[in-house]
Amino acid sequence: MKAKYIITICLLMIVFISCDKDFLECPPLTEASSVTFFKNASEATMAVNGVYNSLYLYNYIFEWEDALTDNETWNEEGGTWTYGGLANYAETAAGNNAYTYRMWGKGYRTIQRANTAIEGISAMDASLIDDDTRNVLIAECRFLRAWQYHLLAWRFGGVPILLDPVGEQELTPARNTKEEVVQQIIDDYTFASQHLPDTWSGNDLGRAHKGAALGMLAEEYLWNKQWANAANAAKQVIDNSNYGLLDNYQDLFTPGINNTKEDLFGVQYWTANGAYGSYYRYRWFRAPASNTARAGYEFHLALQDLVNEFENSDGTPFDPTGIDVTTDDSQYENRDPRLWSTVFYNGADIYGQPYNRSWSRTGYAWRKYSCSKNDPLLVGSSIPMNWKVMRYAEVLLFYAEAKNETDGPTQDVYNAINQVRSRVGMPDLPTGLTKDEMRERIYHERRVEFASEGVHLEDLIRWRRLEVVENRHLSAGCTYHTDFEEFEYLWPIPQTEIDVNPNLEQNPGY
Amino acid sequence: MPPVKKILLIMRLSVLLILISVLYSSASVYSQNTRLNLNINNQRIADVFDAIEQQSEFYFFYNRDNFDDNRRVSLKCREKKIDEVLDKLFNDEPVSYEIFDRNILIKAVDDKSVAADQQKTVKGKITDRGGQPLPGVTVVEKGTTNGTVTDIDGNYSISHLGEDAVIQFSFVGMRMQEINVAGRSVIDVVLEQETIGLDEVVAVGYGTQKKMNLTGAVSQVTSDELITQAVTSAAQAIQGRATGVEVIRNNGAPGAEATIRIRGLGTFGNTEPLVLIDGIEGNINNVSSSEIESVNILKDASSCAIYGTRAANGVIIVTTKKGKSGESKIQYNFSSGFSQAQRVPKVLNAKEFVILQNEAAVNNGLPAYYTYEEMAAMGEGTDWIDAILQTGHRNSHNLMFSGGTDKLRYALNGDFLDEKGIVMNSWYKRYNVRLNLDTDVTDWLTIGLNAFGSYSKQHETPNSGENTLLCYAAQYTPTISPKVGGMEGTGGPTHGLPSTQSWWGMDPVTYSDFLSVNRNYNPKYRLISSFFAEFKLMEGLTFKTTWGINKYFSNNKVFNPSYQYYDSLGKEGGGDIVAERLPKDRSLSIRTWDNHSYTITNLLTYTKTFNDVHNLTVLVGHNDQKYENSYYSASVANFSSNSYQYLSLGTEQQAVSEAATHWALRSYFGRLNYDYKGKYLFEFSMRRDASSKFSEKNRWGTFPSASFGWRISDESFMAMYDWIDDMKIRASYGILGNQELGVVNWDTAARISNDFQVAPTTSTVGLYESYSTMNLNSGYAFNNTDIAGAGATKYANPDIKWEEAHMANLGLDMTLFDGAFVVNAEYYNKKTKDLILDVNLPMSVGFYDGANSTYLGNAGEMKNSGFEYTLHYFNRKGDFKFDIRYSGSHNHNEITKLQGGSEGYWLNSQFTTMHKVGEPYGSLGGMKIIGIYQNQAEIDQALQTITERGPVGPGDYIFEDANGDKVINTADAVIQGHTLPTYIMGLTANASYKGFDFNMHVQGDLDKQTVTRVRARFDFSYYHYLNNYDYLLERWHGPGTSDTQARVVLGNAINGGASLSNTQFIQPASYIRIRNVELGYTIPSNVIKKIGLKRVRVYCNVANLATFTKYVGFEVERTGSHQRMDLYPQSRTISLGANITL
Repeated sequence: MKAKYIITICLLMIVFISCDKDFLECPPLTEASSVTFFKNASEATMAVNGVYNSLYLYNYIFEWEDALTDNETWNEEGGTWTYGGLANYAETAAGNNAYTYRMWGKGYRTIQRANTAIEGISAMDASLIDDDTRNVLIAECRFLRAWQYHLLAWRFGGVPILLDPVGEQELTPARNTKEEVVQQIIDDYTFASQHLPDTWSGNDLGRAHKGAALGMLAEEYLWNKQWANAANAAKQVIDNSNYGLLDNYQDLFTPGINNTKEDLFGVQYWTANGAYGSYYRYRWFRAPASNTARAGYEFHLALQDLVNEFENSDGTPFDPTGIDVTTDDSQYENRDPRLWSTVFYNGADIYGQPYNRSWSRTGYAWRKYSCSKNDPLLVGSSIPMNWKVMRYAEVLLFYAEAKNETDGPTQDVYNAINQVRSRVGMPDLPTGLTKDEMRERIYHERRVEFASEGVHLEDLIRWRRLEVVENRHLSAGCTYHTDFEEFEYLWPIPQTEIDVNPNLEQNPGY
Repeated sequence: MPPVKKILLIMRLSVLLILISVLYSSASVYSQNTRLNLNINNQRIADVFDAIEQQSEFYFFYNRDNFDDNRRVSLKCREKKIDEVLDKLFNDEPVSYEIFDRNILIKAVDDKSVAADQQKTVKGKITDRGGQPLPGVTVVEKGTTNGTVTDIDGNYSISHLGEDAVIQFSFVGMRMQEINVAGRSVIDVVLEQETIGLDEVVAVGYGTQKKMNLTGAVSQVTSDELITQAVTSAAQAIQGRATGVEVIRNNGAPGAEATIRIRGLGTFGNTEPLVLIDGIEGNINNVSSSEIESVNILKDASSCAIYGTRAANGVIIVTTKKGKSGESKIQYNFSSGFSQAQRVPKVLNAKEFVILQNEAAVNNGLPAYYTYEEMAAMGEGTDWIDAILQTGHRNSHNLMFSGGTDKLRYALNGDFLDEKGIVMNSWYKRYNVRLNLDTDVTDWLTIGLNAFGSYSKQHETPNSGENTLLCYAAQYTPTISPKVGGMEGTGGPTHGLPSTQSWWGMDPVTYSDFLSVNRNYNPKYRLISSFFAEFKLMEGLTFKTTWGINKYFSNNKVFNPSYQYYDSLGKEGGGDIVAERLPKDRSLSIRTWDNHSYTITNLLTYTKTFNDVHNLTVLVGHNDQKYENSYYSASVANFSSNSYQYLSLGTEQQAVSEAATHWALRSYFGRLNYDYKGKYLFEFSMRRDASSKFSEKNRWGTFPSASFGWRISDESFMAMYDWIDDMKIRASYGILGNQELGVVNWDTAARISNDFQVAPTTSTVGLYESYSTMNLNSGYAFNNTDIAGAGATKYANPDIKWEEAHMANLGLDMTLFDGAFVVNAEYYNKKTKDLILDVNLPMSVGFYDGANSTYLGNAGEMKNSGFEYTLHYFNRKGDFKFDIRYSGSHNHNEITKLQGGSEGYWLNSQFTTMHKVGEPYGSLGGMKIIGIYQNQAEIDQALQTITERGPVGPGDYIFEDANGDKVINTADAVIQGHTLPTYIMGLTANASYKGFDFNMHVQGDLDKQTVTRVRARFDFSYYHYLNNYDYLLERWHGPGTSDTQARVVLGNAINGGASLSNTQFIQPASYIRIRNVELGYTIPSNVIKKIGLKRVRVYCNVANLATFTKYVGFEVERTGSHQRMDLYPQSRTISLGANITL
């Protein structure tokens, strides 16, 4: 009999154990499940911050796009580095260039996070979050999403528009038309401009605000030649007293000066513990340790062609004729002050000692976005500076460009450009320019003002000038691309993507 | 006699007969010791019996129908034994008797057998090879139920033997012996340890089985084989001793672990088999071979399927030593020895080095670094390999107390291992304690405890990545002198080389010394404990419940002090700093792994035999397992001193992190074994598993298997082949699962998180694949402040499921010529489907991580087929006994499907390793060298038809244009080898003569290659200032000087880039090793008895006596896709030891 009691107990134990239904429920511990997230406003904000976080993945993209232009070259001449390869479009033609791959992958990653956040926040019960907060958060996501679609659309053309959150994504989407993508971008920016506040403060500094959305919206209209809409959007930024130019151009690229009234939008880097340091450290130029060896990682080198673009300080174009630009230091005298702020040239101060052109293959290195190795804000080799996506100065030039196209070189146009020039002490543009001459002046001003800020490539695409630049023989030591063809304005969709998505069509020519 | 008494008598008789049939044993001493005094005058025999019964405890049984108890007799005797009395009583009568202790059965028989019975009593003593008495040996007359067991001194006595009687002596773990009595009355027997035997019991899933009844494929290695080796762990001890089992010692460093693969490699993920130590999941690398009774390796579907989703890589069941009822024993084993490097490759000496440096410079069009006079003056220089090698030591002690009463059994085992390696500053210490205890609480309840605790510390020299210490030493500039003393390391001056052309930094000796302080040597604590209770519910039916816990804790603390090392000129001499860390960069990091798992197993077993011929065993069970792992780390920098190394004393860059994972498994399983007379054997098993790793829809998996065996030798038509003792064929088929989903980078020996071995990774790969997760570390630096954020970082794959292996097995077991030959052969075919691979995911789905866009999915298929055999010959006759066993395992591995219909892809950008359909897993490759350009004319001619990879000169390799496109580039990389051996051999020889015993073990992995990526560095093509092995002296240095080794150059572009794998990097890695040689002597027991010992055996052992291979470099055994040339080698260890029993 005793035994039977025992058996009963044992069997009960089995049943008891088996009744524990949660035994097999072992969800991730140090990560949250996307299904159960969005329980309160704080988690909603975290999900939005996570969209911003995705921007950190864009290292090696924004800051390296100048290497595809006549502004700079990649240091490894003839090497197999992907960016060097992209500069002459060799790998791009094969459809597997790491640069196009990253642009595509990173864009859709940010879009996925934005979609997930938008869907999660939209679905939150009204008791969990008030409408204003909800709209602002969604506006931030739509701002970031629109930016990504902009980056994709103007490089790849009509890309698939994906708006579903994680878990509901379409695995093999087909391409939308470019017009549909542009409409999506404009809708998103418009919504963002309607719901984002004029400014942020405290630990919200760095979030997208109304000025950012309007500036980006203006740019999108420009791309589509909707000049009036562009001018209108830009004007709203100009008329808003929260935004303006900094007095000192050099302050823009001084470590520790961030989120000023000129910074409409930037990727926020923080180096206090190195966690969010930028990776564009290759600009970081360490003063040579000895007198004999060059040091540092100047992987990107400014070209003489860019140096020549800077005007003389009296506003006349610089003419290198008759000067041996490889040896003659007089070329650096009496030039647009932005030349000094942009590049290290022979004899220019580089953190306490003169730069020597022999330290670089082209004779130049970038001063913009560089910092001294003794800078107290420097941790490791990351640069303690935000990446500037859009500055107020650019909106002024957007305005000038749009107005010039609609009304010709009116005083509004002159005022906008001259504001940018006078800030650095350059004389006003001469009066009496034709519409076409003004267009050239705007083109010049943009190249000089935003050199090394990742703007120039987009400008060349937008202005359809890549063909000219790429087919031109540039300065010595620069890889150039002499057989640029029209179809190359659109990048190839990464072949790996086409391999796994049969619905995706490649761009023509590849 | 009244009828009542007769009924009683019948009843007593029945009881007696039952007793007889149940117990052959309990040999009577009463009948031998009791003396009778009788004075009978003409009385009835019945009265005589009464008289005897009155003065003694004897009791008579007889049937009056057969026996006349009224016969009158007269008898007079004094101090006579009962048999003497009875012999007189029935002197001429047709009556016989049998004495069972105090009971005497009288029966009428014919004269002959009476006479025979009376005489046939045999007695003797049974001992083991060392003269140790063996109590409890079963002694049975063959073909009868007549038997006994030996007493505590090994003595036995068996009576009433039939004519031509053959006595069988059998004992667990000993080979059964049959001896023809042939008229002898005293037979002393020495029993030999059993190695192969049909009565062996092997461990199978959740139980044991007689080996003769097995229908699955199970290899067994017993304690005898395990103990006679100087190895770190049982994992090493089973190497080459079981067919179908590949044991790879990852390197020879003290405490290094071994990787085990059973029957090839069946998955892209974790290939480690499930290891159960006394039923609880554990790591065979932590167990000392002295602790183990047996290791059973389950290889086919039939034996493994009861472990369901855990079984696809095979199962290893380790049974530790248990106490036995009877005598208490104290056993002490120790061994002590020294070790030395074997096969030390030669590096270039200083003179050779500078000659090659010069040559490389000239080949690159640079001026020579040295003048002829300088080179001539250069001597041998420093042999840095020699400088870091030392004589190692190995000491091990094992003390075991075991024994038990009839109700309680115990074994307490303590083990200590102390190894000092052959590379300076490497050592390992391990302390293990194990207690196995069980007791019969009542006649229906047994409870027990298995407890194991282990503590180890280890200092590894740098032994991974590019800079293993040996690699560092092999490459370090030989022209640099060893350090002189003090804190100053060496590192130059460089004897004329440009400073960028020599190795600056600490010399290998200084480097090693530097890395051997300021750390806690990574203490690891393991605790495995289980409790069981077994209930005998009714005849044949038992219920057993087992509760266990496995706990692992390790804590790795490393302090990085500030330092300054100067070159050999020294600080005062104006030397340069060669290595430095500033005081502000002092830092401390502590990493802690804290893992545990729980398991509960309930088993119900029913065994019954019907009609003597139908044997049935049914087992049903349930098992729950839960794993909880966590890892935390803390680090901080800026310490004010090098001396105070605690986290709270650092002031900057504080960082902490924690990673935690968990998963659970619930299983129900059952097995049915049926056999008819042991001739037709049948087994069916089934397991249902539910794993938390899968989404609800794929959570449950079912894993059935069936097997059949036929003992042909029991068939009547086989009777004519009397040289066949036993012959069985068997077949099995079943499905096994693998739920270890992580794709493991196999060549780094990374393991996934449920493992208790190496520092378990914190990876969640494979645990949460059906969840999409919001990574909570996705913050953003608003306003220069870390603001928390969350981003979805992982694609959820709701369809993911376990990998499934379908496995068929055919086996043949034979014992021939009276046990002289034992033959075993197996053929298997295993197809693994739904292999987990990284599957490409469109980036537009949104999970590109900066490098890849993939998820884990079931996409691949692989096939393993093979043939295994063991031939074992025994010579048991005479004083010189020996046995030889040869085992061979063929395996053919082939990938049959890859993701997305891909035909194959290279795993890295250097084109060293490839997965390709139709080829083995991880094939090796690269550019194929077909010669060397001997002169410019050859180059010019070649360039007329092909485009070379770049500028080439005389002395450069000619690569094959494998794809025929007339362009030499990476697209020409082809497969040139494979890392999985296709044949594994093992040869074991044992011999004994009187007290001497000899054991030798040879093991080999054949037909495999390895890629030595580091050769790219050595060949002066990349890090050209590094030293190199002397094979480089065979380089091309003028027309006709070499066809295989290119000229030396500076820079990496000339031979296609150093990072590009080529034929020269792929080396043969087949090897045969004399693993173990041991000579022992057991001191005769009469000698040692005087000093109170029961058994003393002393021995000399040589581990890794020699290795035969074509491989250049230190260590050939471990192969991988990124093999470093200088893994820590296995050493030759010579030990003396003793096994002592008190």
